[in-house]
Amino acid sequence: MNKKSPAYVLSFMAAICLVFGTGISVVNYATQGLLAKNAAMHRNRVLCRAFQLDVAGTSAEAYQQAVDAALRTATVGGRTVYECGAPGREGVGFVAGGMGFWDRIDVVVVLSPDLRNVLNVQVLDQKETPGLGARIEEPWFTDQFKGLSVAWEAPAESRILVGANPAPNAANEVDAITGATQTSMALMRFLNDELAAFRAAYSAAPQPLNPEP
Amino acid sequence: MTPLSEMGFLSSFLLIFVSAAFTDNILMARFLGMCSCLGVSKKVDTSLGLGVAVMFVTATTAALNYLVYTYLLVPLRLEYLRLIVFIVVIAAFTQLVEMIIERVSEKLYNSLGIFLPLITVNCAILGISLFMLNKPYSFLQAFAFGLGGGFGWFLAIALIGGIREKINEAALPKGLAGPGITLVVIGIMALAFVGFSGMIKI
Amino acid sequence: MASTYGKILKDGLLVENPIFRQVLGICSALAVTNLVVNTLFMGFGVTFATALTAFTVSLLRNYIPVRIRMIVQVVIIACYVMMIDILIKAVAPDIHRFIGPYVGLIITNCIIMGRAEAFASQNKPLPALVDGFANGLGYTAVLVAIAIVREIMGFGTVLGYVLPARDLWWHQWTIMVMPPGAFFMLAILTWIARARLVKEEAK
Repeated sequence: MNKKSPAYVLSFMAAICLVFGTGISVVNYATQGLLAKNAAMHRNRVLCRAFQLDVAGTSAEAYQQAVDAALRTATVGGRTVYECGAPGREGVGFVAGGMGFWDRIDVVVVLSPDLRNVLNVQVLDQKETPGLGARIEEPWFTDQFKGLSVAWEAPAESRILVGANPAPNAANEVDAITGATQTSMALMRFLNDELAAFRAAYSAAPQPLNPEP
Repeated sequence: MTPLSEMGFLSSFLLIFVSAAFTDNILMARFLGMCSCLGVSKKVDTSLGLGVAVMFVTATTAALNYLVYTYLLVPLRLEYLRLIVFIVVIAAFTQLVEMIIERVSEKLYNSLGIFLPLITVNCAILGISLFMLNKPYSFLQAFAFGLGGGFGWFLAIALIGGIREKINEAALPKGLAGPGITLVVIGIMALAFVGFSGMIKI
Repeated sequence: MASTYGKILKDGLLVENPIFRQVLGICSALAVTNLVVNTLFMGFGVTFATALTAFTVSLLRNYIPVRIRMIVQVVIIACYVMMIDILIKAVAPDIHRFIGPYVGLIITNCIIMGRAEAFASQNKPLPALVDGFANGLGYTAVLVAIAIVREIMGFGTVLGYVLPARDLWWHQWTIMVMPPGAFFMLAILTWIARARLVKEEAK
């Protein structure tokens, strides 16, 4: 067959796409169960880290058990809210997310029950530049959020400050990441957006979220 | 700041265009499309030629990929194939353009034709199509994003071409001439573009 | 035969180094060279993908229509990288969280395409495999060299270990962590490498 004929070119292209497309689809479907399991485990692990729960071991079951034992979930305003009632670890948590520099960032935010302070922020998912924006996962950065107070009286976009601002070392400020201004700004933007949305939904919901049975 | 969805059509179009072209310049802020930029920017006129071709392809494929993604991949739940599909769309579109230009205008083909294979491998174009998905754009806004991104690349390569043309006349050490000095030039330009970053937020 | 492979290896690593001589793969060279660990991940991925793609393209070289050979090559590259990406995600999700962001960079790395086009499409599968491997290694070597300098100057660390002198007198250069730092480092390295080549050619 003539290699230059349009029919050959088209059918070759179609064949290549078909073969490799099928390959990817097969791999994708074959691993879907595993992927879902991995995602659930990762979520539980980050929740344990965010609420500082005790976990017996590092297996998926251990994380699941720890989360089931300590956290109660409720749906408030379309988002899942996690509540922890264990003495000394009381807090409410939710997943906040938004656009980073390259792709979506998702973090678990834990607030004190009166919503005045941030207790913890742990990164759930991010695809920022390794060595720059990706450092939002590192403890030196996330530890800054522990005990941070939320300036609810401030305008909605500056209740939590990341990096440069007129009042350095304010009670609601954390340091930005050097060389990753864009990621830091993006984090600040969506944290403030999500905090406002969360508070509006949370205070409108009937309390307590999980009445004793 | 007013959310994009509540803005008038023209102002949102303009804002997306300007931010994609300057504050988020694909070459200077995200460093995509560097290889073909280093390879082709020796002279202003070739730089302009490739720049225009890239701008055209970026804008068109951003719009095409938007349609393919929204109306084909999402309903079929094949989002995970988007990389492959986008690449094929870009490559096929480039091929199509090449064939059409070849038949319609020989002059245009001779001046633009050599760049077309280079466009297929230009990661800036794929990058624009992928970044577009991360934002809640409408069809026309996606087109504005593609056009702006392409224009940003065009602008950057045109500037680099102009500088290189002058530098080529300077007496440089042999090892530094060519890619070496170009990298220094782009490094300094990138520093300037860092100053743009964060000026417009969408 | 062994000497042929030796020559291909040497070409890829030194004489025709993809970054210095062919000026390919620059985008990713800039993006990931601020930490040595990241660079090693990236280098490993690119070496693997280049070798595998070169092998496949070489196998198909007599059947690929000339007109669409680039599309075919890109599709092959993207599919391999994506399949490996999904597999790693399923089997080793924690490692995937580290290397996930590189996937897009590997697919669009023009070294893979450049070698498929320049070597694999005209040579037999085994030499093509070696050539892809050699070019991947040459690329990794240059990237690691850049990364070591950038990490020391930018963070005061090597592979994450803090250098003893850092907190005493070294002020970390933020510019080295940011992409412009990569341009300057790459320019200096290119200068040195090319100057040596010019000398050798003069002999």
